[in-house]
Amino acid sequence: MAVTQDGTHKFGIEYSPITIDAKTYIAEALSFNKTASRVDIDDSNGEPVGSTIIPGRIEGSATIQLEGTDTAPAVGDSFNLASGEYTGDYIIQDVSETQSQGDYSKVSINFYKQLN
Amino acid sequence: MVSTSALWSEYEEKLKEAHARDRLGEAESFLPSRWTLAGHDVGALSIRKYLILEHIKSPFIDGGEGSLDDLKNLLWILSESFCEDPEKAKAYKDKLTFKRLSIEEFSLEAYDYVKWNFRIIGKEPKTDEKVESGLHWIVTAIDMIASQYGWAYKDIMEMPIRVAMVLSNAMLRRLAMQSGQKPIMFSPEADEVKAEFMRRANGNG
Repeated sequence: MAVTQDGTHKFGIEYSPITIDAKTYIAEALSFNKTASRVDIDDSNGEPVGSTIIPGRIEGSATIQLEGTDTAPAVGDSFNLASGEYTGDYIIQDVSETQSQGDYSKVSINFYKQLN
Repeated sequence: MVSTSALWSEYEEKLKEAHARDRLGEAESFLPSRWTLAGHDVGALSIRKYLILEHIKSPFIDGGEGSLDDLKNLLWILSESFCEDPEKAKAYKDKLTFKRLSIEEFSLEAYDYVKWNFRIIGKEPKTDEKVESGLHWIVTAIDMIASQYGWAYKDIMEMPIRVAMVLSNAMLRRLAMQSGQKPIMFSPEADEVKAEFMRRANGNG
């Protein structure tokens, strides 16, 4: 089930509509994180003499408001962001249980940027 | 058919305004509130008073229509002078006068009042809702507030339901963040706007 961004608005803002399998949802509290790992080089005494940073994946999270009794996106679903700083394809790796309050239901998702 | 982008540009501002109303509503929950039902002043609905109304099966808390006795019971329970003394209750109810009384109109007024008290969590009180543990939601709310703040349950029982709900939402947010999770937040006005947007975007409304 593909997820595509609809519109030219920037992601990273508080709310944004996203289209999942031809159905529009609201994604809120979108956030992204550019991960990296640091590799240290130590001398024979164990003191650091150099370091390098290796860029990791771009990861993100969001909360999705569902319409009525719709089911949430599934783990493994991918989506595309067509504009903004974080353009690219993303894969959903975590989907929380649906939480409801009053008439509304939401799930939170974590995702990462697809490498190729 | 309007494109999703065009629809979103229409709703983006509505969403900001709805959020501002939600924030204001949350903050105002802590202020004293005054309502007039059938011409009589009533205060905020406390947890204790809500439970009493539920216990006596007051038809008004679920949007039903009640009798004149039901009406007098409601006004007595919501009055500032409410106590457990049956004589005082009788004296209060005997003195009640009504300039204009249509039980249908009053039932609507009363249900608006109940809904306003539950507004923080959505449009309807949904009094029959149980949490997954099977506990009455009020038990869960009292347990949460007592365990987090250390307040005596008698004090919690006197809290306006609106305050209890605002604090519960803030508490859930804090606990989620402390455990490294991203909290799922609900905002009644904003969520309603989002639901309307989705209905229109998906051609369902």
